[in-house]
Amino acid sequence: MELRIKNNTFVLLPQKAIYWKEAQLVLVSDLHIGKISHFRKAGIPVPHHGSHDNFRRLDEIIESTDTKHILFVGDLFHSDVNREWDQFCSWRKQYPAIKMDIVLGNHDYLPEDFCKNYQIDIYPTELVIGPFTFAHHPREEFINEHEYVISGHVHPVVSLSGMARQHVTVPCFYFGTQQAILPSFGYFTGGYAIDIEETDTVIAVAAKKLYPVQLKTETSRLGA
Amino acid sequence: MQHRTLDIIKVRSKGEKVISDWIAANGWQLADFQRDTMAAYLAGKSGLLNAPTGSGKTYALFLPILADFINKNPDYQKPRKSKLRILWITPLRALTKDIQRNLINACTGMNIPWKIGIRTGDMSAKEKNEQIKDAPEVLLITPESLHLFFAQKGHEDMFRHLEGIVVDEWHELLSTKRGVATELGLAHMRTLNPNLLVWGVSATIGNLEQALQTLIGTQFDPEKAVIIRSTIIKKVEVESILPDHIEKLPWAGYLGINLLDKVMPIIMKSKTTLLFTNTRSQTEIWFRFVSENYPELAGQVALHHGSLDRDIRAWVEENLHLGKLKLVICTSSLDLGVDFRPVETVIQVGSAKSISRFLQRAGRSGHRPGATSKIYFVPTHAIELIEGVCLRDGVRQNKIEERIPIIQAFDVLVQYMVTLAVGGGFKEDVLFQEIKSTYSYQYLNTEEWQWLLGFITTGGATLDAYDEFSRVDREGDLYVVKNKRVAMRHRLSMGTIVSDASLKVQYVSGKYIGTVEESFIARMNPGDVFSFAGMNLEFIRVREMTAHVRKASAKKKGIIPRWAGGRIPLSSQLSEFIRERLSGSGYDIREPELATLQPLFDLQRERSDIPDKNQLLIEQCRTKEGYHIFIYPFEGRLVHEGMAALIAYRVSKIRPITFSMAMNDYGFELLTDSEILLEDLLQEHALFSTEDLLLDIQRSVNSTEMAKRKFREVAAISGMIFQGYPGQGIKARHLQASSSLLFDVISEHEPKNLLIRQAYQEALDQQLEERRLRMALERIRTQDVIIRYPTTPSPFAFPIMVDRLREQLSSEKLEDRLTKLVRQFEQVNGAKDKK
Repeated sequence: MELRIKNNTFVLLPQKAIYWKEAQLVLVSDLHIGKISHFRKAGIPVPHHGSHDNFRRLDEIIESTDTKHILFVGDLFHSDVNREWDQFCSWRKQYPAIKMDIVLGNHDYLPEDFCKNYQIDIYPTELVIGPFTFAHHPREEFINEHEYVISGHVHPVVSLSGMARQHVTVPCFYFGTQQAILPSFGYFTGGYAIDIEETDTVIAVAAKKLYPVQLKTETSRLGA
Repeated sequence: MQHRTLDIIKVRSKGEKVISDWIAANGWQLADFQRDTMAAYLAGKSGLLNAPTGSGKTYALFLPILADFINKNPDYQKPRKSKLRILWITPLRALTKDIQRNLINACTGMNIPWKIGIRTGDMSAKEKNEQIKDAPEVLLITPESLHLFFAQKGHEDMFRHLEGIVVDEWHELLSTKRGVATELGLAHMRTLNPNLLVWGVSATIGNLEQALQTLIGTQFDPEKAVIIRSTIIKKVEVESILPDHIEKLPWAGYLGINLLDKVMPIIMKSKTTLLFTNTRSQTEIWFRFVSENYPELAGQVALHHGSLDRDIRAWVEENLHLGKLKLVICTSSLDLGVDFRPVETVIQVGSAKSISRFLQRAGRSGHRPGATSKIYFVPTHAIELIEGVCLRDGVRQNKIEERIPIIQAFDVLVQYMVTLAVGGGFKEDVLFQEIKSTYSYQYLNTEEWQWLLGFITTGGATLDAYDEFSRVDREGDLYVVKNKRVAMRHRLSMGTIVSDASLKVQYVSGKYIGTVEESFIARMNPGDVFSFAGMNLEFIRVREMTAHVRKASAKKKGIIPRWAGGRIPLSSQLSEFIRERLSGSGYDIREPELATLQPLFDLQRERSDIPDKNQLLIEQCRTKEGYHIFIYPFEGRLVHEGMAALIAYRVSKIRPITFSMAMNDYGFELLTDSEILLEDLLQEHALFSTEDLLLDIQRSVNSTEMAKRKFREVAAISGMIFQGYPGQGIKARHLQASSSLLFDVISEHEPKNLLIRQAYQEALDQQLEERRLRMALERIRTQDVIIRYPTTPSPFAFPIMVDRLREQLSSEKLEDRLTKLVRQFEQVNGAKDKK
């Protein structure tokens, strides 16, 4: 599924990432690498197989797109360094041709030699490419009405309710007039329900499929 | 009775002589059950004493303990190096002070130089150590504090001289995980000292034999255990507070505040009244209404519930004891507790759910032996009034419910194993034998045992180079916790009572008021006012798990917090009385409740019908919400929850459909967005059959949803959710995950995980009450089904229909449901926004 924002094309991927066609760039948010190991190290037996799911989906994305660049918009890692980080590092090195960057999130406690070891460049607060600003935290205020911010952090989920009091809650992409929020990519991460306004577009993700939810019938005013 | 008197004259032992002299000097007399307990204890028996509160049960057990000591130590008045001889386990810390006073009184009276100590969680480390070095002869303790002992290295030394254990109010602990923890504690003590005497005290319950079995374990010689029943029967009178007309009561609701003006004269007439409600928010609301409408009572009304700070509760209890309060509005927090002699009247607002609970509450008044306890029942909605007459039936026929002990609670076991590993370590074979000796884990097999050992040592991992799991380590044949942080976290998170994420409420000036749920505070903005502890509080900010507040002006009406709490189902005994009373044979207009209900029942008959004992009533109707099916088995909400899921699942097998379900104690509703011709379906399909019952329940999505809810507690007890503690750093949050996320991840990768299995089993046993469900279905098979098609929802249907807490069950594909829901959601919300 594709969305046009400020004359650029964004492809929403059911793996819970976004592919920016013009820039050949993949956006991934809130992977929380190391979370499962962090729990296990503390004596909380979360099944350790879970982490493989993350790498499988990242591989799928690389195979299905022409990406040259992956940008992690924060919370790539979960907490202290542990061996799951090494797993990630090995995975990263399978793709030397792909540039990878990170905009830091509140969970990213990175070691000093991180850039060199992982071959990932760090942007402490945000990264601006063309008309877009990439940050970890969604914005409450904007510098001007032209700004368009793409972020993560909140792990958005949407609760859909309908006839006969039925409802379903699923992860989603959020697109407002001036910003977009990615769903959390990490396997072992939770969600936070967001409210939808008329000017918003929300795309629910479930069972490897996308479900656009749009309250407005006319064409979207995204990035107008 | 003559031979009894003879018994006292020819006292056999010195101990008994000393005791009976002291009794006589005080001008008292031993009751029969006290004499019987003395004889049994001195004969070296363990047992269970069935006696009500306020009957002298504490002395019934303590005096034999002293007699035994005197017999073994003729120089019993001589000061000696003290050692811990008796553990006295109570479910509530609030009870310990009162018991301590009684025990000290007896010791002083007979010049026995015993120390009576209390072990509590908030003693300083120094006080705790001193208590270990200079142990009291009797230590009063809760099950939680006992387990904290086990988490200390060298705790065995403390219990080496233990001679006996008394478990007070065992009926309160019996069917809970705290009871399981107590069983484990008893087994551990028995391992240290096989000759230990164990005595429990219990109010009347339907399964006293089983209650005894859980205390003494499975390896005990049953010849050496007795049940002693006191013959004291309390007289209880039950009266419902009736509205002038049934229309005065709402059809649905839970407050009961409409009857305030009928309730207040009763309160005014008596010295002190306890008014029991079923929820904490309800106490806050009643307190507000009473304060607003009866300002003359200011200062004489208090409220008491589990979320209030301990100091506030202690103040209320103290003033209740002193007779300074006219009215205390409370929850089950005052079900147990010290003798409140000034209490003359007890009022129950809303369904009491079980006869035993109702009787326990009634027993809070009229503590004088022989006095009649009077209890008033205040219905909160119209049909509930029928429960008044049923409670009276139950009390009259003395139908007391059972309390079923919990078995195979792996979560409690995991916690206990880690506790021992923290407290110096355990050996595999010794611990296995110990655990097998409990009632709760008598069926534990070696496969499960090995899984549990693996769970705490390797975290269930197969060999993986990346894995860094660390909890319990093996040192030779000893299982120990070496990681200090694991040990610390374990000590902080021990216990079996799992609370919702809660925040402390504190004045800016520093005084604590109590706790509210995080989700409630999350919705508040600074400046918002909420009602708590009977006061209006202005919310200022949240800092480190604490909500800071200041007093707000009395004019502003604050929102009242709601605390999540399990909804207790109506007991099967009480349910049966309701079915009986609705029936032609039991419908007796001379009962004031039924006379008052008459017009409502007429309306029910006009719109639909009232089922006889041998009928099952089903209603189908259509509203703008969709298509409703109401079924009324009158079996209590848990059975209805299970039955709703079962019927929904069986219909959904016939064609793809999604149900939303709601239930109360009388019946349940299945709501759909397309029509179901139930009459036809019932002819072709055995929807109420018991065949494949277990399988069908397990297959229905709802067993997963229910298990997921149960898993929250299981995960917290077994240490998978770290609940955190005040003052923790940001990084402690990195160890927090929701139980439903854990449930999903574990179910996907480790379907054989015993804790997941336990969650499903708990859902079956408690949530679905499989046994009762099966019996209910069997009963339904003998009933005639009558289907009615009211054009407007009937009085029976209404309270169920308005319930917002709903379950769902679907056999439609997720894709189809999402597509449909997205469309409906867009239509409804899009249209709304355009207005």
